[in-house]
Amino acid sequence: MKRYGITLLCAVIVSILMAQAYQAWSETTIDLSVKTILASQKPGQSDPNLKNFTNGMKDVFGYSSYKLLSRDNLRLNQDNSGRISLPGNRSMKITSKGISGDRVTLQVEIFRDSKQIFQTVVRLLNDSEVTVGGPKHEDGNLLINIFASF
Amino acid sequence: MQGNLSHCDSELISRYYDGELGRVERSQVESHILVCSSCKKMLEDLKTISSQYGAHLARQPIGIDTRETEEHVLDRLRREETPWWAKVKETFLSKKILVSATATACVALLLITVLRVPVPDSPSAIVASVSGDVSSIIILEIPETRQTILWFNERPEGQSL
Ligand SMILES: [Zn+2]
Repeated sequence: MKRYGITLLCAVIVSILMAQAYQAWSETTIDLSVKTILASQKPGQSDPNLKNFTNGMKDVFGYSSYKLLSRDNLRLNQDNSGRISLPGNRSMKITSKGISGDRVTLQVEIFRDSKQIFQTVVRLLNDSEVTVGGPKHEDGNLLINIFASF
Repeated sequence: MQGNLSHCDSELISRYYDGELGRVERSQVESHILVCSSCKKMLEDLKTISSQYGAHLARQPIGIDTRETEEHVLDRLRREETPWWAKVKETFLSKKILVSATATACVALLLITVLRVPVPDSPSAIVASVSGDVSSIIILEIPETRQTILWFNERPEGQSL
């Protein structure tokens, strides 16, 4: 009977550990939505789906149109990276550095011709975003908007 | 700037930090700091932030060519009247003049500007480090929508270090 008790205890401990491991895993899963936008001075219709995004931008940048070029979704676990391609032989790599407190730490790198030209480490609250902009494309500039939820 | 420094001049403090000042201005700043705690604090902040982030930041000097987009941002900022933007404007203008300032100092100063903004809640995005083989980097936060934008000007092709 004592042996049975020990087995039961072990089973309980193992299941607690597994539950904790699962919780830890799911806690560090980050969903990213990355929008690549071309902002240009050329008059034209802005994408209606970008309304929330462009409202604030309009006051700061003088662009007349914002065009959504692509939208990518990435799901990252801690220390996982995801890569999206950007126009002009460029790409963006996003690495999750895990969640601490109420923020996820992301490293964002931009490559051109497979050479890193820009990198940043940002700490985002849940359901919040950061935008990296600047690279020239066609007659405007690229804006890459990263929205994170976890 | 003649005689004693009668008012707080953040541009002068940042130029002092960058080692850009002549002997007269330098001593004006030094004596001002002795009596002005807010300017003293600003200088300390510059030192702290720069040493904190210095390791991650690009060490290349910012290129002399500020491109049209940066011009555009600056132009917009000049028209804004709110104190927040006034502060950013100050920063941009001083940095634009000081083309020899390093990326480190530029980013550090902007971070200070962002950190000093009296906002109701903490920003949704905190920029811990930023660097790159680029000619300039600007960090902006749009007050109404709280969007954080990291803007960089790529070095033209073939000009990378
Ligand atoms: Zn002062």
